[in-house]
Amino acid sequence: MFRFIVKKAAFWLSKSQIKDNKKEKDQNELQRKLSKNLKDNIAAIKTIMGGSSDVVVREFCFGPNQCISAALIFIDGLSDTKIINESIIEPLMYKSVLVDEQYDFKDDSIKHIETAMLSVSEVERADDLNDAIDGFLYGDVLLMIDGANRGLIINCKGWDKRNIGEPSGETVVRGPRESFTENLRTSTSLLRRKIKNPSLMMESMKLGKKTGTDVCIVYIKGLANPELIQEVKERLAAINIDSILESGYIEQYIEDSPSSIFATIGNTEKPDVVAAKILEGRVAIIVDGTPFVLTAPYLFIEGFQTAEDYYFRPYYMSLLRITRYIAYAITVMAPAIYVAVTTFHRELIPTDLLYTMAKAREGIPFSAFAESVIMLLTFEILREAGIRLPRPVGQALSIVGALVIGQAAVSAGLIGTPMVIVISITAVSVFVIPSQADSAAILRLILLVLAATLGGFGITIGLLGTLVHLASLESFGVPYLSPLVPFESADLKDTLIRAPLWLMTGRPKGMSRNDKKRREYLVPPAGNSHGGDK
Amino acid sequence: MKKSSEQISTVQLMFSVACFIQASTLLTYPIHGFAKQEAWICVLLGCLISLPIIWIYTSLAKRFPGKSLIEINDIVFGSIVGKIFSVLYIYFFLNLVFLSSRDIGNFVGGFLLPTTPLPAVLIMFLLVCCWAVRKGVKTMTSYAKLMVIIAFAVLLFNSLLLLNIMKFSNLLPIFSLPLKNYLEGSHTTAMLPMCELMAFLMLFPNLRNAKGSAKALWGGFAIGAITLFFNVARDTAVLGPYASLLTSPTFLVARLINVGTIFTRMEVLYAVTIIILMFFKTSVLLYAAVFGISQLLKLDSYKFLVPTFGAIAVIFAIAVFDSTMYESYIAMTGTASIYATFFELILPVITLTVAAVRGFSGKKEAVLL
Amino acid sequence: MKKRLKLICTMLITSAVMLNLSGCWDSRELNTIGIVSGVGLDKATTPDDIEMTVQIANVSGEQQSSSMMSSQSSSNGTASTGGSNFFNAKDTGPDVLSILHKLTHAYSRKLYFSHNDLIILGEDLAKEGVRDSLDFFARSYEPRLTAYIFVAKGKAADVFDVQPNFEKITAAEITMLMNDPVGSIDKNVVQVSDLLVGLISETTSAVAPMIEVKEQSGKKQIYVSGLAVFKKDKLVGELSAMESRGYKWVKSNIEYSALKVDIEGETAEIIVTSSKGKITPQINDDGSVKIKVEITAEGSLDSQTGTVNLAELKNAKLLKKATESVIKKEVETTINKTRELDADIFGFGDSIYQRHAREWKTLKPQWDQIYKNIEVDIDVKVELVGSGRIAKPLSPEKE
Repeated sequence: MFRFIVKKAAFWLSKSQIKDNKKEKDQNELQRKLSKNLKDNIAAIKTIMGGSSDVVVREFCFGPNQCISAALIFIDGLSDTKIINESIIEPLMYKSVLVDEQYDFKDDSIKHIETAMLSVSEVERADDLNDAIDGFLYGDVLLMIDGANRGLIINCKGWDKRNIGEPSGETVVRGPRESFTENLRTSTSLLRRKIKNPSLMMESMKLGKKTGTDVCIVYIKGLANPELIQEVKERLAAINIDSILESGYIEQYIEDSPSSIFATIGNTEKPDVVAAKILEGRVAIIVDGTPFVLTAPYLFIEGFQTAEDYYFRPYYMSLLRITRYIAYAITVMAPAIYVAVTTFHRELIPTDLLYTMAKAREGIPFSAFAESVIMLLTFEILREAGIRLPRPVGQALSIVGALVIGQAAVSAGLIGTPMVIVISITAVSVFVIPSQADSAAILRLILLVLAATLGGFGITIGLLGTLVHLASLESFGVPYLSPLVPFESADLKDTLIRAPLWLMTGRPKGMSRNDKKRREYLVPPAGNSHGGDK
Repeated sequence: MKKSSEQISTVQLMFSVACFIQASTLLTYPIHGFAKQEAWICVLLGCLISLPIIWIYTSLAKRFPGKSLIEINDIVFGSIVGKIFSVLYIYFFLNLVFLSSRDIGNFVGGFLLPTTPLPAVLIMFLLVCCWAVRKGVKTMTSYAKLMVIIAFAVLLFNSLLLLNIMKFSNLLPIFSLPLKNYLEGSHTTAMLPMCELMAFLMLFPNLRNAKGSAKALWGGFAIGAITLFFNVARDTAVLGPYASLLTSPTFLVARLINVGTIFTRMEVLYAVTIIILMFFKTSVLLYAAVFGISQLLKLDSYKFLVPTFGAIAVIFAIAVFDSTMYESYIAMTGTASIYATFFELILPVITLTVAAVRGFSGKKEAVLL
Repeated sequence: MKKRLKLICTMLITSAVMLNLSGCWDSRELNTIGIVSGVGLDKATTPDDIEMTVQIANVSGEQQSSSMMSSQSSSNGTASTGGSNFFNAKDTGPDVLSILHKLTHAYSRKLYFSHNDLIILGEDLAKEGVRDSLDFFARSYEPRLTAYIFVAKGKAADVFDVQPNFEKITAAEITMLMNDPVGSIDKNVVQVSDLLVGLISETTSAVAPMIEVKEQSGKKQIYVSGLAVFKKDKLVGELSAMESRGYKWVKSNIEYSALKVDIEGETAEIIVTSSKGKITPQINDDGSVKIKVEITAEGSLDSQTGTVNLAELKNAKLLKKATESVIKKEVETTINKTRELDADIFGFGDSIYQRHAREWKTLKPQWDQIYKNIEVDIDVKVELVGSGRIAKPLSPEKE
């Protein structure tokens, strides 16, 4: 239902902007071929770059008698000057002197330089201005030589980048502690190191008209459903956006239900998680400039699975997983149930507890609904402030929060003690399932309103509505609630509990159609199954 | 393209049928009222009576695979008489939507929200139903299995907790009542919950494997009937003669649970379950009615009709009975079941007979298509 | 497209408005209800009226009173207050609902019955018939069928005036008393649902435990014992504590209750750990009815007097026999008493109906006469499984 409103609103909002886009005439300029005249080329590039201060144009001469003039263009700070000095300028200036003086540089000079002189691993050619400029904008060096109508793009990317660190959002007790970084290649290398298999495919594309961000689709050929890969590529190709600054931009453009409060694309900054997911037949999308990698399809239950579930032994982890479901139920429903039970269905409270609760409510001016809204708002404010504030101040904040909200509000008679407990458990439970926290917050409010008006019936109606909505959601062709809806008993081994690895022999049914068998059914110790009979 | 994406599997349909019948555990009071301690016998007899009727439905489905009831009518009777039959069916489905909405309204009004006006409850309930129907058959049936499992689990859990106050002697004596009571009781069982699954004839076009319709219907019927039987037997065993006085024995039974003062107040579980099940039943019925209308009028999509008929259902659910006393009068005098017999038994029998006389059989039809 | 948008917007707005307007249908904050914890029903002085006493937990005053109580108890030693933990609202009227309406004129909070665990019927009212008074508790949405029901010796209202010993509220104390399954064979537990079943049945008489207020060293004390016997819905008589024991043997399971047995001039206490009664009706060829009552019990020796070693195998057998006969006698006493009262409290009639429905049709009209002379065959089986911590009596061993 919301979809129409969203579409309409989007249309109205974007209407005014469409006109501006038409002005882009630079496009023709960029399509121009490089000319043979070096001066012209440099001038053209300088005009396009508008004299940006970080663009370095190094003109020099080389060859016999310094007869050939050339220019290196790169961006200061993006390229490794050591490589430029030692592997580009040095060979050209010194080694070219030794070349036969009779050699005709005019014809094949570029090819010769590329094949025989540059001691750099990766060299490409650029025929038009567009490629040439893209080359140095991505951190490479553009080498142009007078008399040649093409330039060379020499790979010497070398900007400052963050080291591989621990993931800040997803901490683990056991398991690898490395995290993806903002650098696309570092991220892909982390994956490649986990899956040393030729069928690990990485397909790159550039997205964002202005930013030209590198995006990499990662999957395992033969595991991931070809239709899924095709669908992901098509959706990515259809993105028409000027900038991509984070993978969230892409997520919002390719998700199945943009109007839903539930995320249908997952994100993580842990390489082991991504590796596990693509090994189940999913597709990962790595975006340059952010450590958060997208995975699709993303199912509801993935919010309840953590990497550690598979690293520790299964029994306690199964218990923990059930705990996570309970925590989700608490965080979504606790305030609603409290309001419904105290204002509608008091017969559900044990008699002694009812006396205590009634006592706690004496003299409180607000209704239970208002109380819970106030407390939830306070909690959200505290949480948000805690994230935004610098760390040392954050601690002071938590003390203020705990004292003011917990103690003072109760003793001042604004809030009843039971409500503080309910909101606290709600707040704490959110952090158990961080990836569903955003939907939980909205769902909680909806249910709260329904509970305040229609009590338990309202909550049931709300949950039914949620169920209908969730059941209708799909993530890249896979039902969002699977394997619960539609009920798939084989996949339950990794849903409500985490069965031992040696029992989980198949890959999730919705995901991969080809290579369904994950591992042989084998009861450990592994050696015994062969020697057992003898 | 559209049709293929809306296809459902046999298993999904089977559990939908089961879920549909399980919903009727809300309405066991007429059976208790007619048959007192022998309600469980009436359920068994009612299931026996339902067997041939369901056979009629399955053979209709077999003769016209992939066709809905409305299309079958057009084929069998021609376009004019067929339309008359279709209108009657649609009228009946709409009636059932009103009745089941009213039932849930009465339940919520009677046990959960006594002073909340009925319209408020009905609007919220039908809003969700409409939403579900708009999402299509595939979504609608996809959660049936989950609901059946939940309903079964709740029934089992509640029954276990009630074991300590169950008196199986309450189920005795057997065959002590006048014949009339058995007839009324089993007739009610057969007509009111069981054979309402005629509505699934409207879902058969969505079945991926058209031949699975019979299997789904029988399987679902079996699961639903077992649930209903255990439910009625348990209520009688717990409440004894008191069961025949109550308007919702199952809810009252759940209220009696008290095991070690920890497992008490289990009526919540039952209330939530019954709302979920009735939601499912009502949405299936609403779909049957609305999809029927769209086929009758040869519309491209049924979806835009849903909110309209949802709104109509709210009004008629309020207007259909002026009081709960009137409703139980209708149920207890057997009026409701006789009324239903016309639509659930007589009309399909005519359809099947005419189809047989005119020589439509499953195979022929397949060749024609 | 635009139409659809309009429709959806309308739907959203209507539901939003509905949600906002609906704030006050059933929603009630906890500090606007008066939690009823006990109800007493008596005959009023005016004819055809009943007097209802409602014990309401005084939640708001509780904090204050407990501090008052502690200060008092420190100065006085014996705390006799606690009166502000609850108060008893009283009024008269023709039926329960009209009294409830009258009470709304006097008390600021809406009375809330879902947590009412106790209904006490006054003796006088019970003699006149309780059907009309109990209709509210069976029909209305709030009251629970699991509430305990009593018949008071004298007025029900007096029971609520007794100060509780452990709990804060008298009704809660009585409820706790009945919640505990461990205890005496004299203490029969009857819930509203049981009584209602009795009211519906054509032959089975309903029973309810008797509650009375006793004076103990100047202090009022509640005491539960005996059974009130109803015929249809009217109180027709009562069974004393001893007379009521047979009912519990036959109808309910006994857990951890003491039983005194006389054996060879000494007395022994048997702790009955579990017991079960079963009624089987038989119809003989001549049409006469015989009821077979089987009771199986398990217990162990708890205490004894004298020096005879009752735990010895030979004596244990005697003890077992003696116990069986004691139980049998208790059941017989009860049956004889109910025969005097013409009240089939065990549901013999219903059991015949369940097993022999066809014959029952001829028996039913004259059931009262049949019950008076019905042949009851009581079969008791006792298993003694232990003798406590000592295997021999506390006496010097005999040679």
